[in-house]
Amino acid sequence: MKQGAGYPVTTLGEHKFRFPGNWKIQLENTTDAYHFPLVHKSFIKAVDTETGEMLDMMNKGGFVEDLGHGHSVMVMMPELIDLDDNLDAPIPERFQALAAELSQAHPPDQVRRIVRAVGGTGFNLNLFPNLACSMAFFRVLQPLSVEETEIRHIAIGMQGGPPAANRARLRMHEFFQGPMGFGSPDDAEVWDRVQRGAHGEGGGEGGGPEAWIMLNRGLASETPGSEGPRGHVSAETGMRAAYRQWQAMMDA
Amino acid sequence: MPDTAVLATPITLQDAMEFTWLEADLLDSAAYTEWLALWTADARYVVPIDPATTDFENTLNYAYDDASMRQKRVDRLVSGQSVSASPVARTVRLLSRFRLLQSDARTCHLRCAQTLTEFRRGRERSYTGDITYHLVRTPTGLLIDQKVVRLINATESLMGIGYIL
Repeated sequence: MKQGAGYPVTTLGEHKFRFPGNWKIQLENTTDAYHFPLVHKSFIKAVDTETGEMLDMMNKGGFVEDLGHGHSVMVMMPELIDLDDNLDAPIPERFQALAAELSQAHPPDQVRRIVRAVGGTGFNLNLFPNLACSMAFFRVLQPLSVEETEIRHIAIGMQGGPPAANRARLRMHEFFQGPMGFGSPDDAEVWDRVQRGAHGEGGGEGGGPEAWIMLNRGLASETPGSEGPRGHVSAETGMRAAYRQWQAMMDA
Repeated sequence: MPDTAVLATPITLQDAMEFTWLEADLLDSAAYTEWLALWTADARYVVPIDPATTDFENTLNYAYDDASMRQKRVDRLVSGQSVSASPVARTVRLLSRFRLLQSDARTCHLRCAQTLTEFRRGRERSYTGDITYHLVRTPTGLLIDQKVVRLINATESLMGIGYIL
């Protein structure tokens, strides 16, 4: 709720798109950090250097934790778990123009709080089977068939909040999300290929219904977290949590 | 007719049509550097979701690109680092049903229909929409001040569109 910076949290619209693949492929995505620097290389190149460094999350104390019942959380930026922490920290360069605009109508402490909220949280939360909250948006996935999935990315904003702050949120959402964003189409392309691979269309290079999909990354170095096993930010702990719950429900 | 006299007459439908055909051809032939030069400094390229909105700045769109974002979009298409744009889809777009909504010596508003077919990795898809152009006349020719692409299925879920509509 701190994404509202004191204003009620509201939704600002949504992007809907489909990909030709099974819903569980997308379920794996939200608390998967290690696809980010690979699949989203062109996005990282498009953002400013400071944002690129912020998104370079591999060795900054982040972790993934199994929350039980198939849920998981991935903390990419531990300093942004609580948006009200360290509000005296310097305002990032990319938000300086927004901060200057907000300063015309808001006192400095409120400006810092709003700017911090605009940037979103430093963690992604995956709620089994189909809800997630990632940094600054909600994700809802809907299986349409075994091989087709619809995804909604819903932008979060501040009801009655400064228009400049909500505009910043809209532009961030458009930058990455949706069928014409700089992030989602690359995700969708990879999911499409994963689905094709599951059919063994790799021309003898592997895949097919007999192929194993390994989800053991980071398993050996997991430690007990507050709710369940906790792994390195690049571990597949979140996927293990989701598939364990899926298997339990399918076997029930 | 001397140039000054031409510049005093309203922009014609023929001028506007030829210009938008040029833009379509540049996009289909991946001539992105030339495409980037067709815009005014403050121009916006918009692909809205809401069919009724005109307040694009305060609304969530599929794309709301200023000059910097148009440049980034082009960089992404040519970088080879985007898996959805490597290769970029082949596209063929047809523009027709042109109508001048407004025209004077300096600016015009043109509305037309676009049907586009894409082909990539064994799949063919099509997107149909209305395009509204705000064009301005400069000493060196027409430039785009605003281009709004309203897909007829904009409120439905779309597949990834890894190119410029």
